[in-house]
Amino acid sequence: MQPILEVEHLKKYYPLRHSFLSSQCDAVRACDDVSFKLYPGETLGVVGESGCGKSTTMKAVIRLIEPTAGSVILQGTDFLSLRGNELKQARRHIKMIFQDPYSSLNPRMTVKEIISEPLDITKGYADREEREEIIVHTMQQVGLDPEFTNRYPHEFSGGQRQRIGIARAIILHPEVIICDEPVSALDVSIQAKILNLLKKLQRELGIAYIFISHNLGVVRNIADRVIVMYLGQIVEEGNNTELFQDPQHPYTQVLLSSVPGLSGGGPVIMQGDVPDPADPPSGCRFHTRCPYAAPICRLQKPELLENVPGHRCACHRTAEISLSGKAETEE
Amino acid sequence: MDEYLLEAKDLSVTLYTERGELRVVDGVSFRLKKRETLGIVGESGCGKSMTANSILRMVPAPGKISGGQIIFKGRDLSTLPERKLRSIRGKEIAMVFQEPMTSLNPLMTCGRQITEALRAHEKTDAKQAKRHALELIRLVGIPMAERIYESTPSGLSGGMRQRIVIAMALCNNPDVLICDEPTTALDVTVQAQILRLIDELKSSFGSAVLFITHDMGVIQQMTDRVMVMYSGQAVEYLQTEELFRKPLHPYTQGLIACIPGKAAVGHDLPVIKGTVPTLYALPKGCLFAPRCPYATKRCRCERPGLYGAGRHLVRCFQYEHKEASNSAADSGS
Repeated sequence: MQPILEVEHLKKYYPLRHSFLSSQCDAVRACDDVSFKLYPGETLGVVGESGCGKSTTMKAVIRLIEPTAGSVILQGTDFLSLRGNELKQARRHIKMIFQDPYSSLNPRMTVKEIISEPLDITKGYADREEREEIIVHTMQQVGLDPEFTNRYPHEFSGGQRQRIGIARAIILHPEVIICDEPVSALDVSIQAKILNLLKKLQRELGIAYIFISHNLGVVRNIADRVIVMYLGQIVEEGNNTELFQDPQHPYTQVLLSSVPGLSGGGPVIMQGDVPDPADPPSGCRFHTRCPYAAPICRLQKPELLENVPGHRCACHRTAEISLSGKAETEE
Repeated sequence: MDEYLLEAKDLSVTLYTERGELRVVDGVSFRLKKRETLGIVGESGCGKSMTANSILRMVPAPGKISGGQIIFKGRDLSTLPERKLRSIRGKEIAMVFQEPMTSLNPLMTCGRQITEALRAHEKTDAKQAKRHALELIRLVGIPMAERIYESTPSGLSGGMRQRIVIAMALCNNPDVLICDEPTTALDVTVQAQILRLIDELKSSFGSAVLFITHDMGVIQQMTDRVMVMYSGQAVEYLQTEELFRKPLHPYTQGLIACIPGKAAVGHDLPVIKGTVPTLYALPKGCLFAPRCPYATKRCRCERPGLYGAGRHLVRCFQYEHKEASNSAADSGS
């Protein structure tokens, strides 16, 4: 199957001003050489701690921020070379849903204005009647009462506001939607409803999702494949079941074990915090906190290798670690 | 054995707003023993933080404790004069808040904030206080204590800040530690470190912990007993293992079922229909009745009491006459 979205060697550097005290570092590498593929109708989960670059990467993909280097191929066309009207037209195929349903909706626009804006920009209707029809239909699809069209966002609860955000994203029937922590600001019972809605829309419209979340339980439930990021780089990629049941990279193992109630055993406690992204560790970026770090990890950057088909992992010591991981689970 | 350190009896908190009186905490009772961790769970707006704040009489402005007692070491904190309460706050009962940035003063060094908490309650000279503060900073797992002692909170990461807040809370060896969502703003790996820390400190200081969170996973890991709250009421009291094995209240059942990590991969999650009622217009009967799949006519017009036996109490009419059989089943399993 042809991938609908192909991202290759994507980079986003934020230059730092030189001060005479700091020595070499010249940029924060928020997203450093990220490559992945997205296939039609699938959900790709992206996990990692705050500051690991998961949002930056995806915003660079959709060009909310301009990437420094790399390529993004959307449905066979080079998305990064598009300008002006072409870009506007191409953007109808890829949409985004944001984390905070309070700040991502304009408080001075009515629900109808918010939802219909993409439609008006692309002139995606024949006449007034059709426009109304599309708006009502979209509101029904996301479970909003079409009678609420003239209300303002502040009149809605968090879950309903997120539905407005989803309606705005799906109104043009995009092939890809980037969901940036869409349920993190919501309570569990509302979270479940929004997740179910996203799954329903995927079944009906065949949308592919890139689903960014720091909540591994949510990703476990919704994703088909998962990418794990650490300090701007992908450290592991695999399908849902494999990655959660048999994580290869030590960072993924620590991350999974840290979630209370998700794994059986107790947490593997990691030392320290995420290092400063402006001055990342040499070699493998995880070696400062890795329980399995060896001398080679400090010197040489591990490649993201596909040891098992469909499962990529960037670690020098994968083979040894997965053995010890298995020994633990047998106990 | 049955000596309770902290006891809340029929505690109520009311917000006196322009639009009317809102009962945000409605007749909540709980008891806390030494070395025990009691969890309070519920969704936003259920009154769990209000309950926690009311223990030290820190309910924000339009709110007041409108009924009930808080018994701590034989004294009622709800009527104690402010001056006496201040000697308990931060000393015998300490609190850790959710957002470590807003609970620290951005203009004061971390060391100064810890010694301030120390010297507010004990007459020690500056040198001794500093030594004690450095000891605490090391105790909560911060390397390079001297450097952190001199730096302001803005230079620290979220996890480090929360450690400073915990060090402040522990500086006077409190008998009761109230943790209000202490890890919600932190990443999972840092959360694991902080939870481990609270657990270790609990066993070495022998404090009792009141742990407020909306995260069921954290509840499972940290607590012995749990109180589930809904719209200001306690709807179920139970042992933590029961919470995941056999919750009885329909709301608790729904809450456990919709945790994404536990459900089958790719399947739709079970949901609780409807939404939380607003406090301005609470239902006449059981507060959960409009959303409850088992609601009867009686549920809609009558408020249920707490039923059950011993440690497992449920606010649901289904269990009104099942006290005997229920406790028998408990002892059998």
